[in-house]
Amino acid sequence: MSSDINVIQMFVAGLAAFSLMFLPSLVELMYPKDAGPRVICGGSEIVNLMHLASLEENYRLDSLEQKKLSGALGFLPNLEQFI
Amino acid sequence: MLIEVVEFLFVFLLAILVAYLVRHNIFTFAVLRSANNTKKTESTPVAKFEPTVSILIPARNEENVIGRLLRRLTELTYPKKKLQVIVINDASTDQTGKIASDFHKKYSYIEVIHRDKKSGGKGKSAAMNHGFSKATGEIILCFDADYYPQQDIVERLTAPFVDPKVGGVQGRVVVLNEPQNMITRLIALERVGGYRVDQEARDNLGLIVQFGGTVGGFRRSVLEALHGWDESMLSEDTDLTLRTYLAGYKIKYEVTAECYEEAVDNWGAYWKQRYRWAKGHMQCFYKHIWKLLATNKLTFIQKVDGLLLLSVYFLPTIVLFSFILGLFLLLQLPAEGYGLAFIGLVPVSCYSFVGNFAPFFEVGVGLYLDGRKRSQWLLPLSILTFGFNLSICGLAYLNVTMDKIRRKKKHSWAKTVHSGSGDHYVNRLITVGEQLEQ
Repeated sequence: MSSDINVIQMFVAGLAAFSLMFLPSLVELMYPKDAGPRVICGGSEIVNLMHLASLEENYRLDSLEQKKLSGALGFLPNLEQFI
Repeated sequence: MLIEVVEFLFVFLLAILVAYLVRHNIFTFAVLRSANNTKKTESTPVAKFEPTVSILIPARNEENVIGRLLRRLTELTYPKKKLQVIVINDASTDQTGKIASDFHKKYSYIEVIHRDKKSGGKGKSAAMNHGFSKATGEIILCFDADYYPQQDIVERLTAPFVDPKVGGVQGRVVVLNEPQNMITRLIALERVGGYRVDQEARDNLGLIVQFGGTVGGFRRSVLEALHGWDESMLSEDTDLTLRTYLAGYKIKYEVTAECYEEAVDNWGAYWKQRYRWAKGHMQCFYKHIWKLLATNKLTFIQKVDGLLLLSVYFLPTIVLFSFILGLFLLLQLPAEGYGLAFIGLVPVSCYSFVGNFAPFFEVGVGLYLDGRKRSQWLLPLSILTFGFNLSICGLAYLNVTMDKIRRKKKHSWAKTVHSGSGDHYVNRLITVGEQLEQ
C-alpha cells in the first residue's frame, strides 16, 4: 500500500514539476507582454513621410481655397480706397 | 567483432553530438563577447557606396502579399535611378501578375516577367535564373514576396560589397506576424537563435555564413561565375552558400539589415516548409561533402563548420541511432557490467538534456541581446518545435535515402502559402510610429 502511495506521490510530483516548467510559457501566451513584432522598420520614418505628404497636400488645398475665396470676393469694393 | 564495430559506431556518433553541443556554446559565447562591438556597429553610419542594384522577387500565387512588398520597395531610400526591381510572376493563377503589372505602370524601375504554365512553375531556382537573365545591376538582391524590409535595407546590404572578397551578403529576418499565435511566436524564437546568434557568430568567427535565399544577395560577377541557381536543388540557398565559399569568396552577415517575414501560421504549413528544407539540405550534403573536404580555399575550422552545417538535418537520426546502439551495447554486457554501460550512456543522456538545451540557450541569449526578456518565458515551449523537427528530419532522411537508392533526381517544389496576415501588423507598426511621434 505504502509503495503504491509512493508511486502516486512520485507521479503527482513529476507532473507538478513538468507543469511548473511550462507555467511561465502559459502565462506569457495567455497574457502576452512581449508578443512582438520587434519594431525594425522605423515606423516613425513612415509616419514622417506620411506627415510630409499630408502637409504638402494641405498646403496645395489651402492655396486652392485661397484662390476660390479671392475669386468669390472679387466683386466687393476695395475698402482701402475709402480710407 | 560485431560488438567492436557497434562500439566504434557508438563512440563516433557520440563525438558528432558532442561537436554540435560545443559548437552551439561557442557560438553563444562568441556573440555575447562581441555584444558591445555589435552595439557600436549598429550606430555606425552606412558607408557611401552606391552600386546599381537589381532586386529579384520570385512570386507564385502571392496576391495576398506581393502588393505590400512592392509598395514598400517604392519607399526605399536607395536612389531609384540605380535600382531595378524584377518581379518574376511564376505562372500564377491568381492576381499576382496583375498587381505587379499595375506597379510597373506607375513605377518604371519595377519590371515584371510573366512565366507561362509551360516555362513556369518549376521551382524558385528556375524563376530566379529567369530574373537574373534580365537583371542589369552590379549587385543582385533577393526578397521573397511575403517580406517587408526596412527602408534603408539596400544601403545596408550593399555596403559589405566594398570588400572585393565578399561574394554574397545576408541580412537578418524578423517575424512580422509574431503575435498571431503560438506557432508564429515559436518560429520567432527560432529566428532569433538563427539570426541574432548563429549567423552573427559565424560572421564574427570567420566561419561559413549561410545565405538564407532571401534578404540577401550576391555580386553579379560571382553569380555569373557560379552559373546562377542550381535548378535541381531544393535548398538552393545552402547550395549557393557552399558554391560561393568553394569558389574562394565569403558571405558577409549584416545584422543591422533587417527585414520582416510572414511566418507560416499552422503546423501543416510548418511541416511542409521544414520538410523541404531538411530534404534540400541533405541533397546539398551529398552534392558538396567531398568538394568541401578536398578544397584548399577553406581553412580547417571552416571545413569543420561547413561539415556541421551540411549535416545538421541528420542530427535527429544520429540521436536515434546512438540511443539504439547504446541500448544494444547495454544488453550485450554481463549483469556486472551494467554500471559500465550506464557510464557509456551518460554522455548520450547529457546530450539529450544539455545538448538539446544548447540551442535553447542560444535563443535565450539572442532574446536577451534583443532586450526581450519576457519572451524568454516561452523557451520551454520550444520543445514542441524541437520534437516536431525530430520527426520531420527523420522522415526526410528516409525519403532522401530512398531517392538515392532509386537514383531519383527530380524533386517537386512544395511552395509555402502566405495568407497576408502580416498586413495587420504592418498597420499596427505604423500606429506605433504615430504614437512615438506624438
